[in-house]
Amino acid sequence: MDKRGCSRREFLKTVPRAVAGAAAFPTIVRASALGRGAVPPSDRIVMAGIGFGMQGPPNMRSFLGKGEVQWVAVCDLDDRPLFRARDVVNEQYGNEDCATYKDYRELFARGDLDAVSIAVPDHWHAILSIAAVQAGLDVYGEKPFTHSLREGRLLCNAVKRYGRVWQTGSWQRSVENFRRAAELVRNGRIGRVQRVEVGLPSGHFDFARTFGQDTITSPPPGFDYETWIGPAPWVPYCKSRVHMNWRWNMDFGGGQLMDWVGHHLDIAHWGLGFDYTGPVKVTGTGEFPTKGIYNSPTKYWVEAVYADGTPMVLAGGYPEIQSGTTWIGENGWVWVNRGGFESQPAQLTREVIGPNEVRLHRSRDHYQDFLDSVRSRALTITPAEVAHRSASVGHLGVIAIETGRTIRWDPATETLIDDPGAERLLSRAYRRPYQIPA
Amino acid sequence: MPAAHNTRRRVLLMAGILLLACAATAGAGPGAQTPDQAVPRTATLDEILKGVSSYNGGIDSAALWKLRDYIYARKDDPAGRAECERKLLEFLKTPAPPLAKMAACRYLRVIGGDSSVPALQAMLSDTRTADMAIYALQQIPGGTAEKALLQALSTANPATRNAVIAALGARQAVAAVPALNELLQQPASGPAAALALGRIGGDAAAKALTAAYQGAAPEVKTAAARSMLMCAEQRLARGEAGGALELYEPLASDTSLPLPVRKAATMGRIASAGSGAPGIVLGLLGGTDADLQEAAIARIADVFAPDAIAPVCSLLPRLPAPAEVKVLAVVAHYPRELVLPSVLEAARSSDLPVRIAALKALESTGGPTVVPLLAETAARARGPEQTAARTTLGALRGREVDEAIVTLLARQPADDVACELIRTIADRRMYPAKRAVAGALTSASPRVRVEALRTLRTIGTPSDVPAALDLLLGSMDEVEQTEAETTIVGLTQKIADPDGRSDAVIARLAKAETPDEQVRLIRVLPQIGDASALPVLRAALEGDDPDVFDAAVRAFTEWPSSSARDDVLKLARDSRNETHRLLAIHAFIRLAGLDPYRDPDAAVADLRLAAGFSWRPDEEKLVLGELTKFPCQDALELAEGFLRDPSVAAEAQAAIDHIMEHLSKEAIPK
Repeated sequence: MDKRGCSRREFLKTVPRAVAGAAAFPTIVRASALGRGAVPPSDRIVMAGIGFGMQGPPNMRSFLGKGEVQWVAVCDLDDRPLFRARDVVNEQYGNEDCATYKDYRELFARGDLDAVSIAVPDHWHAILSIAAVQAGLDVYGEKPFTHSLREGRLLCNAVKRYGRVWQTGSWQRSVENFRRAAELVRNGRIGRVQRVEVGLPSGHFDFARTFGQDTITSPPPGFDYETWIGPAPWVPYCKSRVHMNWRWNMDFGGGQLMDWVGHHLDIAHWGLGFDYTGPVKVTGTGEFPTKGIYNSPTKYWVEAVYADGTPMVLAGGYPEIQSGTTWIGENGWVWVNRGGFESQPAQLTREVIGPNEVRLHRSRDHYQDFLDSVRSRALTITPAEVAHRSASVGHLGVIAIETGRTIRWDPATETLIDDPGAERLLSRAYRRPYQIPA
Repeated sequence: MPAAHNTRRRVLLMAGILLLACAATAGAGPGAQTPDQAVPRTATLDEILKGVSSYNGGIDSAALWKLRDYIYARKDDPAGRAECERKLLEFLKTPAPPLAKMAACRYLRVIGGDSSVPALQAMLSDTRTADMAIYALQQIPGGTAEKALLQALSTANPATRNAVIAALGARQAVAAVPALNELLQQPASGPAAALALGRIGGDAAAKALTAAYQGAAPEVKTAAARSMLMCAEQRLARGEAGGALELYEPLASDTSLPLPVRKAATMGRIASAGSGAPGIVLGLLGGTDADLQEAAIARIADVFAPDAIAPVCSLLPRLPAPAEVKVLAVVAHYPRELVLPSVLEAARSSDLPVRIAALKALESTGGPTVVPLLAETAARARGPEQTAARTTLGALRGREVDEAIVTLLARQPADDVACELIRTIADRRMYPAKRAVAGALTSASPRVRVEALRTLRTIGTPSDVPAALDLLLGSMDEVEQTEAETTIVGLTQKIADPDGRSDAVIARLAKAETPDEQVRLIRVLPQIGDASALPVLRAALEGDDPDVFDAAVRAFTEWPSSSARDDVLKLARDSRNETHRLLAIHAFIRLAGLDPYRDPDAAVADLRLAAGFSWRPDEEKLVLGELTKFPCQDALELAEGFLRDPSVAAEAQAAIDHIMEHLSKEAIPK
């Protein structure tokens, strides 16, 4: 009952529902106002973040919302996102304690961190992540796992060697529909899988709204561009080359293909039970720009075949391959995407997975899953090896596109079969003085 | 006009005609080609490289793409590849800027062979070209490239030398071990050399690293230690546990090394210890060093066979809470009969994180006997403990668990426990338990009834609608009524025929004994949205009871599809009750814009009608908002009509701008 003495329904009779109004809420509530002091400071997971261009800020905000996290520092090569991130942290805690760093080595040398969230361009993933695990930190890292296949294996080994917890930003696994879809496939609801289709985005998207800002200039003050280039071949600064749109240049990212393998291809693997393996044969074609500063494929078609004969298509720019993940089996199909989950037969989406069937790791909150693993040391829902295997398919696809050949791959030994030309593309030399730490 | 001027005009005219003729010929099809206009000639590599030579890293990259296409078209043909390589090497000798030369080196990385090595090696000594040379050299297979890199170790400057070292490490160049061994002693190159030796691996590298580790300066020592870990892993992978242990042991006990290295070495030591491993693990678990405890815990699963976990379980209660949490996560994967007692004891711990860890461990170690504990915990705890109990209850395996849940529910436990059990039935999709849940609809507890309503949405069928209707009509609690409505709507959506979904509600409406019952039932109809219920609503408008009338009006105004359009229009036009009129106008505007694929003219006509009914800016703004979905000339004119009213002028202008933008896009030929 409403406190005014009439029921809510009676009250609404007197005013049109549309004008009853919605309360306005403050969008930021201080952590203290929500009683977040429930977890003693000594029990909190001390975290910091590196990279605040695109995914870094939402990752940080999610962690800041957890009472068991104490966020103490931020690190970025550019003053503007760095100070914005610092201000968000200080606003959250109502103080000015958040430290700022331009050099990740100083951050790691603090000695009080438990974990770090890394959201930087792909070409920096391996160096930063290996340095982090060597420093004894657990890592929430972004996809794709690494910028080359060989880096991926080195990082996997380092995570295992130092006994660190790794979570990849492949958050779809923590969304109910994706898990349910994968469970249906894993439990044979569509029979033997005959084909998998993974539809990914195409083209180049102007995330930073800097397309066309191609004039070569000096980097803006406060932005350490020299370090930002890091291990990649040096090119001069222009605005459209950095911040968010770096991913359209193969020296820093891998285009839409590498951006998205860690999502829809990862789900495909999950449904197939291929988390710890890879394809044995890959072919690919791509369409590229003919001018401009970006060089990642705008349209691509990659076909992979796995050891059991399962064929998979990963495509961007081909409408016949529906966006998302589709498993096509002898008895039907399952399709899942963000906001979509369908099957044939249709009732499969409401199918119960029985108590004695394959039940996949259940996570309702990707960040909480990471924090739980930090405490328990159990594997996360997207550990390093899984992330590496997802990214590997993308890397092999890129190699197939570049060479124009069928790539034959041994997923057990992670070696190419009789293809010294393609071997050259498994890794890249680093620009001085950068080295991979392992 | 003077004759000379006329002549000049004629000449100019003829020239113009000639020019036009040439232009026409140039744009004509093949039939009109002149002898010189054949298929465009493919540029030669020299021409392409000339274009590349001005590349400055900016937007003008067309030449780079041509280079790529040219080389990729020839890379698999030995003669073509050799020609490309030769030209690229010649290009490197030109005074082209570094970015242009880097473009060449990118392709030497792909196609370069032994003949590329001398030129690239020479570039190593120039700091402006060293990076691009290594970019290519590192990936060129074979002994010639390796030899060049080895030679560069003694000739390159320190910064380049470290990059050369890294390249040798990436190539796993065994022949480089002696040279790298010497470089271990040099502070500027020592860490890089140690790293490379780790990547190369093998006994010679391990020996060099071990010697360096024992005598080196701190930064080299740490690098050497890290690489010794890598060498030890390689030995372990080859089955050489003893050799691995030789590398791990000194590192595990060296407190001058960073903690992560010692922990990694400890884990490695355990992995290499064979039959001695359990003793090491138990010793560390029983110790006081939390970091080494963590290292030991990481190895439990590798060391203790499924039937040998008892010693670890017996240590559990004595461990500090953080360690106990970690061990519980590990033992959760051991046979239930061996670990369950320990897990249950931990579930009663006074430490919250331990209890939560135990609850999670019960998912794999528990069975029907833990159902009461989980249900009670889910009912009484809050926060992550409650979540853990609920999650585990939902995930426990075995049909016996389902039976235990239903059995416990039948014993009519306390309300909060009953609610958790009913909620779990939904979570586990226990369809056979539907009868038990439907029975809970008549519970004396409102909480239990509400929980049952919620669960029926998941496992119920349309045959449960009557029971839900009984609850809807019998309840005096608004929350319960709302839940009942939602359940009824959810269940009716499971009826395949969309035109029959309201049947049960309509049948009950016909038997309604009081206006209040009619009102409650009428409220459900728009939520179901079955058009066959519209005549019933029309009949309700004819009745005398004002509450029923009001309910019917609101039902029409909340109707989810345009099948109620005419009824809503009538209400908007004819209602004498201002509230009803406003509701109807809002609904009419909403329905006008409901279908984005609707004929725009018809949609705009409806919006024009709605505008005519409106007397307040709020409704006019709604009209303007919907207009933007149908960008056409009529919409534009209607929006322009609002400009005169200052209270909505800004919204009108925004709508006009939006419509104009769409109209102008459509005008641009594709």
